[in-house]
Amino acid sequence: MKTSYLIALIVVFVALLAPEFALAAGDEVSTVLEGAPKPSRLDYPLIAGISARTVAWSMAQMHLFLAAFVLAVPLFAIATEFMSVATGDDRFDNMAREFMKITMAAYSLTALVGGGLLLSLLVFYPHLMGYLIKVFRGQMLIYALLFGLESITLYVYFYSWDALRRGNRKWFHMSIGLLLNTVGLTLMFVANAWASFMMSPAGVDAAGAITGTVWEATRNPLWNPLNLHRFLDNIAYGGAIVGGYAAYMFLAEKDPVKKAHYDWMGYTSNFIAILGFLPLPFAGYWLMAEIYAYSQQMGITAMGGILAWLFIIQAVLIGTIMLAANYYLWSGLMRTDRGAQYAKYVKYIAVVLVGGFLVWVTPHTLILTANEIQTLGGTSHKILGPLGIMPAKNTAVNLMLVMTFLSFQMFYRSSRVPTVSWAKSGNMVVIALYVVGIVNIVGAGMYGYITPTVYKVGASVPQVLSTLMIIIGSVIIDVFMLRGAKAEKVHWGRMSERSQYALFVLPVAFTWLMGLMGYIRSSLRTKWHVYTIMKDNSPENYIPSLGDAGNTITAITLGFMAIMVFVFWLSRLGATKQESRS
Amino acid sequence: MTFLRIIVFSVVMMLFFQGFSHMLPQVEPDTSPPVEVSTDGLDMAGMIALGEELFSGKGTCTLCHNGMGRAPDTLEMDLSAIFFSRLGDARYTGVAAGKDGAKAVEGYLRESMQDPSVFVVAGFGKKGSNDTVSPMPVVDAAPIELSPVEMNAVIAFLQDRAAFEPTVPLPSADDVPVAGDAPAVDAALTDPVDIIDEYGCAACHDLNESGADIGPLLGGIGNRMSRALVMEAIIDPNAVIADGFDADFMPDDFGETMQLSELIVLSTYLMELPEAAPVAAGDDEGPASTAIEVIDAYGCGGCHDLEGSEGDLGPNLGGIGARMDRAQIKAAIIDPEAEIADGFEGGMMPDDFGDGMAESELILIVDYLMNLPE
Amino acid sequence: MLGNRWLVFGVALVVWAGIFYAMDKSIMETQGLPVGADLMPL
Repeated sequence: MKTSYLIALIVVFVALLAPEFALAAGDEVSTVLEGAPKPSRLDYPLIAGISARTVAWSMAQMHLFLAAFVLAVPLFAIATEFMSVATGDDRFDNMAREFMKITMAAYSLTALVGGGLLLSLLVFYPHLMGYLIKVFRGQMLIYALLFGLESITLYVYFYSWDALRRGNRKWFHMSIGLLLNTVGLTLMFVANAWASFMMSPAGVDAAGAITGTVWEATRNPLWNPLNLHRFLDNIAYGGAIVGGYAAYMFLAEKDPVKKAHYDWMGYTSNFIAILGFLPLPFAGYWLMAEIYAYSQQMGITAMGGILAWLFIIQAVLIGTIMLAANYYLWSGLMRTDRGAQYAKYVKYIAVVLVGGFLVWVTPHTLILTANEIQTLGGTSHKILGPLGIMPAKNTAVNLMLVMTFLSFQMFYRSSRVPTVSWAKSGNMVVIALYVVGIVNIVGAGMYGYITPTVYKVGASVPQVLSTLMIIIGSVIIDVFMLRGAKAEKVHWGRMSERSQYALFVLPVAFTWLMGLMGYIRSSLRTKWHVYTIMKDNSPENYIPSLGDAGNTITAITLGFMAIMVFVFWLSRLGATKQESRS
Repeated sequence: MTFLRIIVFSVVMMLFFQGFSHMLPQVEPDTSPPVEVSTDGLDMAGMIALGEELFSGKGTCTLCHNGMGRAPDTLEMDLSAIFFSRLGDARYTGVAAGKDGAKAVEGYLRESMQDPSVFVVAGFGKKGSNDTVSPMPVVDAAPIELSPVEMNAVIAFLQDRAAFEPTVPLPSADDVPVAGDAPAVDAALTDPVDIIDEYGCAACHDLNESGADIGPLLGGIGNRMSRALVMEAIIDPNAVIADGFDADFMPDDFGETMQLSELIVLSTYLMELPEAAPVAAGDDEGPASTAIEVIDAYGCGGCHDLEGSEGDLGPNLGGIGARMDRAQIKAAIIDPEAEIADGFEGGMMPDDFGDGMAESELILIVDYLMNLPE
Repeated sequence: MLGNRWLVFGVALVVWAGIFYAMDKSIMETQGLPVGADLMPL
């Protein structure tokens, strides 16, 4: 026990210093002003006819999937661990440990694929990597160091779980968890700095010569939006994957006690996924706004140019995720006897969700032949055309978010009977909040529709705030209204098998969606390795067509799913014991 | 069993997403290696055309200069009036402030491209800058990187639209070559042989060793004409007709169908074409004796899909015998303008076959067409 | 507590509407965009 204390203390010390080191590595300014390399087409190694880009793409995406999962799970593991301390309920603690068990098996694979990514980049894009190493100097070494630190804290955190479970030791254990997360997030921020530097370089002059410090290159315009977006996305993604695990275990187990446990775990994971997912559109909006602010060209390439069609697929995927998450929540109403009285509202929510989904899918402008334009009388449809523009889409997405929250709120209430005297009036206040909020969202959408472009962007802010107001307002009222509420028995495990499939939809759609967004984020650089600084002259410097990208993304998703099946199998294997000799 | 069901379920869902990505319109990337085309010898018409292509292509101007309100809709405005009001605007203090005329407009346009914030049209500035900072990227820097010649071409194009005589200098041999950037929809051809194939030039001219003699011989044309004239002769073939040939024979829409980089490549190729060996005299024998010889001699395959020529400028004649009788076919050859097939234009097919073709040749070709399978 | 819940509903509607309107107004004004009567550009 003494040794683990010692290790932990050293880890604490080093890890607390690590972020500063990583972000400000080698802060002396280079004196030699040498521009970015300009490799010609022939300078790119051609190896046995392998498509260099496909290899690097697959490796990078696979690494990102695994890393997102491995970084996210400790985040909510520690939150769950804290819940167990706060409520004194051991179930939370067991679940947090189980979360970590899955992570452990995935961790070494993350490192392995990361190594593969580095190798493929060094082999196929030596000039780019050489340049990035020059720009970020010592940071790369510190990244490696942090990775080592991440391994140590991860192993200590997991293996000391039972040893440091009770009393003050628990707090010590949670500090290790906090460190693990600090290191993990720092790792992600460092990696994001490189990715965002390639999109919006800073700390270098127009020719790519290094003029600033590593910190300036790190703190490029898109770094923080990307950090936030990936942070939220990781949480949603991690929740979705763990939910898939729980669903599988639920279906596989026969024992009702275990079934109940995995039903509860699936519910919690779905909750975490939605929690990460709800603010994602706003983080995405910020990222996109920063991209526009950084380079209008880049923004239009994404939203109005050759990549515009991609957002239709994005809409389909997000719609799929929302419908699946809602369906799961509705199925959850079965778990309580009170749930039935809410079930009658489900159909209305479903109508709004599907309607919003359809509006979202309506394309803005269509690439049409002259003949088709004539038949249609323009590039957009007379009646459906208005649904294609931004105010309509913003209205739709906000309504969908509100409805998803409503589903959750209904489920939450289904297991609690309010006992306060003003319950009925309070309910009316909540309903009024929904009504006014929704009217405001729709109204702002109409305002955006009749006004010029600048106003449209302006009008989306009240919509977003209305959504947040509804969510925050009704949470606050519910907290007071359900104080001392009579808890209804929740029959965990009383779930249909079909509902579990909704939990599989989430990870599959999420993985595919992340692959798609990776494709667009990289494509935004068009024919540049480092936007405006270093040209990509490789034979594959073009933006692949949507279909080709879809093939690659599907292949990568399949690969990742295969890895995940292996990981789940491993963590199940660890729990399997042969009977001892009698 | 459960496990298998889940796997199948997940894979089917992925395939659905994948299939969906194929259902949407595909923007096929231009994967051809970059080509550089010398602009040497380009005349002002060529510059204007180059500018027009740059405006919507490499220059990416139309990304913002469109009807969406991001930037002034340059192509829809009355430019001559707009330039006048811009140069006289009290807030404008740049190089051309208070001046007038085409040269001042040139200065104004070049300045706007290189330093967009010198003058921002009211309402189009960056948010919060009170119209002092332009959201427009500098045009001769990355990522757009227009060369001086390309900027001149854009200026020429805009001057031309404002009904000014372009004042920009014509490119010289020393200028940096223009990247053969093609619009993403339809990649430009970069090999002159392919261009000749695509536009069917060899059906009439002796190019790509076709031996055709319906149009003038082009060997050594570089010694007889300037490059600008060659380009003009391709775009507007009826302006000058070579001795012994007839007008209205060559299609006059290459100006629209051919991409500018192709025109440049093709004219370069023609300028360097060696003088042809003198044709053996007396080779010009009497009327052809088979239908295939008739098709060869009169170049029908250049436009119609005959004898595997895959021409598609004229209607497909397969199975024509089922739709028309002999007299109608004969009339359509002699007087092609009388009736034009749906989807095709008049004025394309030579109308002097009635004089040039021997009666025996006419009978041969009509026989042949009557029996042409679908 | 409060007798008629529809009365509560009505009051809540008005109060929420006031809050949302104030929110919209302040947001739009900080962005320099028109609200209220001069909202309609037509």
